[in-house]
Amino acid sequence: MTIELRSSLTALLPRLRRFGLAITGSRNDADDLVQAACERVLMRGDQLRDKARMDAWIYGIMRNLWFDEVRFRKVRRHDDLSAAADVVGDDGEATVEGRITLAAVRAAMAGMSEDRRSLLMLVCVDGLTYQEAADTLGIAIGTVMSRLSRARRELQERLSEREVKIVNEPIPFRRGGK
Amino acid sequence: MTATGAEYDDMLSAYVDGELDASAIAEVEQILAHDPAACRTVENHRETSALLRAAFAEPLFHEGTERLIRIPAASRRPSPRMISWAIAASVLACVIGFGGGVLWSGRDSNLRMALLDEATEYHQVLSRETTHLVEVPASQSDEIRRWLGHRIERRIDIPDLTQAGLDFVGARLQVIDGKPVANLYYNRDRGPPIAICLTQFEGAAEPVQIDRRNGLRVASWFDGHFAYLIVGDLEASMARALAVLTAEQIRS
Repeated sequence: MTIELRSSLTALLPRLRRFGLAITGSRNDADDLVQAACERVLMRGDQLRDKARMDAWIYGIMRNLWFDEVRFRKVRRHDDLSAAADVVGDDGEATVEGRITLAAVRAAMAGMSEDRRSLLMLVCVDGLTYQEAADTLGIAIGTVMSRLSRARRELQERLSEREVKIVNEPIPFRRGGK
Repeated sequence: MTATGAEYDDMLSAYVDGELDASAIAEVEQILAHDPAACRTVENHRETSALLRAAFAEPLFHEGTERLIRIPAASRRPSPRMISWAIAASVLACVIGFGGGVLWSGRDSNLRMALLDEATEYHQVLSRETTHLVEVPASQSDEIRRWLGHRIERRIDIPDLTQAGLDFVGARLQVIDGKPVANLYYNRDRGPPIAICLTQFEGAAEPVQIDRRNGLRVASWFDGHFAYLIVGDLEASMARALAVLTAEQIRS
């Protein structure tokens, strides 16, 4: 493993941990997953094709590792994704209201399915393009588009249930076009 | 726009993400100019993304990341330059008829110590884990044999150490100096788990040796192609007994 790759990997760790949390729903599992992924990366650094998208490559490794793990466990947990802030303590939110809002966002995410959570994290938080997200998740770009739209809707509805004001109340699905 | 309800919604979502081509953007913007509901949807999508970025901001995940990656401590290992020098010097010494063995054994000794350091350091952290000690549980022993056997390119025999009070719980793959290491884990009634580590290691064969590294006991031996380690919080006599039991059951 080159110094450059090692350095890039270290810089990515917070994001890997965040994505691990999105996949597993558990910060302990996320850390274990990141550790395991790092081991794989250390072994397979020569397989990295696009250095600019090292994150997406590792995300793919993490998902594969997690699915293997899930097959072993036969159970998925969503117990403490909402405790993301507890990982580090103060996150700089300016107000109590802000803290409550962001806590509600985490809690709402925790209740969603892994595939929707992962997609929201990749596109809305990490800023991956639809094509990059599709490659990472091994799904068609059309699926990314429709799944993401539904994920957004679900998240907005969950936030609404928690009385988190976004901008407007979620608008019901339109039926039959414009 | 002739899209269905779902397609329409997908399009607004893609618009927010900047994923539409120029003609689709123009189409959406034409709709937004006359449709307040569509405008609200776009605003909601944007706000949702902003909330997500704030709720999962990268700084929230910084603390403690250093323990997530094990960066080899280069200072403990001979550098490639040192190894190259040792090889060159060894060849030269052989040519002139003496000294080569001393250089090689020095190199082997350094690499072995580095291996012991890495293995014990890893175990020191990992052995505190309870629910996540292993990647593959003992119930998947066939998978462990196949997977780890493939990784380290040798047959994996899982020693039965029940007579020593140890129950096999599963395995994990570790990497030391870029090489895969097969780690087999055993639990016991009292005390933290112990690990058996196997990895390719070219060098002279060495019988069982007991060391203390990083606060742990390690029994190690080498067969010329592979290194075998027993790592744990063990009495020296127990470490040696486990090494004997293991060596009997693991085929070279």
